[in-house]
Amino acid sequence: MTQFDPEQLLRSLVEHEVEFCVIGAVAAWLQGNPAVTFDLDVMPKRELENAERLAAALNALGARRPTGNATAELEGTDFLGWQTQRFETTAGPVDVVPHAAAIGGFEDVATIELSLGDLAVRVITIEDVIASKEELGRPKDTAALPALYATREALRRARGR
Amino acid sequence: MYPLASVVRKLRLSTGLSQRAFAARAETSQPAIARYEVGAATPSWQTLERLAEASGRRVEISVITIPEPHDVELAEALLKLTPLERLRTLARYARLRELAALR
Repeated sequence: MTQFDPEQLLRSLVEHEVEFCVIGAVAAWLQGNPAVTFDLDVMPKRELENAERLAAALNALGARRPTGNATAELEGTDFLGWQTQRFETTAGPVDVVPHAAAIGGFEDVATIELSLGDLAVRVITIEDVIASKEELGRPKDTAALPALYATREALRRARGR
Repeated sequence: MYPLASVVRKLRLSTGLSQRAFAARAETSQPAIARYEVGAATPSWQTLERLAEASGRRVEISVITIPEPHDVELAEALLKLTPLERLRTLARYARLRELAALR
């Protein structure tokens, strides 16, 4: 199993100037949600030029689809159609999720900017993470909600509300 | 979530009106507004709706799950780290899982 290194994944995306935000469990973790995950979900802006930058960022990490046996160089056109796709990389798995239930796409989601050392990364708000999980309603999403509600409460306390 | 007294006061302040003028708009009395705002009395549901309407709002009720205190503590502990520290902690957890899987 490739060691999950979210910092390396995010660095590649930032250095290749991909317009994206972090969603899913890593977005929640970065805002205090105490639920561990081992893959990174990202939501890219749905533009061809951005898709090409995304392909370059993933290629730099040796991206390949889990069903493939060889490293396949990605191209921007691989993302047109904007379906959710999963890639194995040298820094762990990445899910590219152009559109998510209840929260929409890159242009729709509410985000905050987090400083990760020398990286500035946008992540969806904990409210949007919750909305997405509530909409999906799968058993694993429902199971994740109590911790997310607790995280929301912790954030409120931290902000003095 | 705010105590109801604070809600009533915020509604009035949002209008810029005195207690007397707000009371008139909401079809209640100034003494009643004064009592609501200090928590000495609780408005009825109908009164609360009129107070909200008097400030150009409406009342909505949402039922939320009470977070488990332990989960809140865990989140607060994680929030004491910087975002970068949280990210690196996640990577360390992933490494632990790998090591466990190798055994």
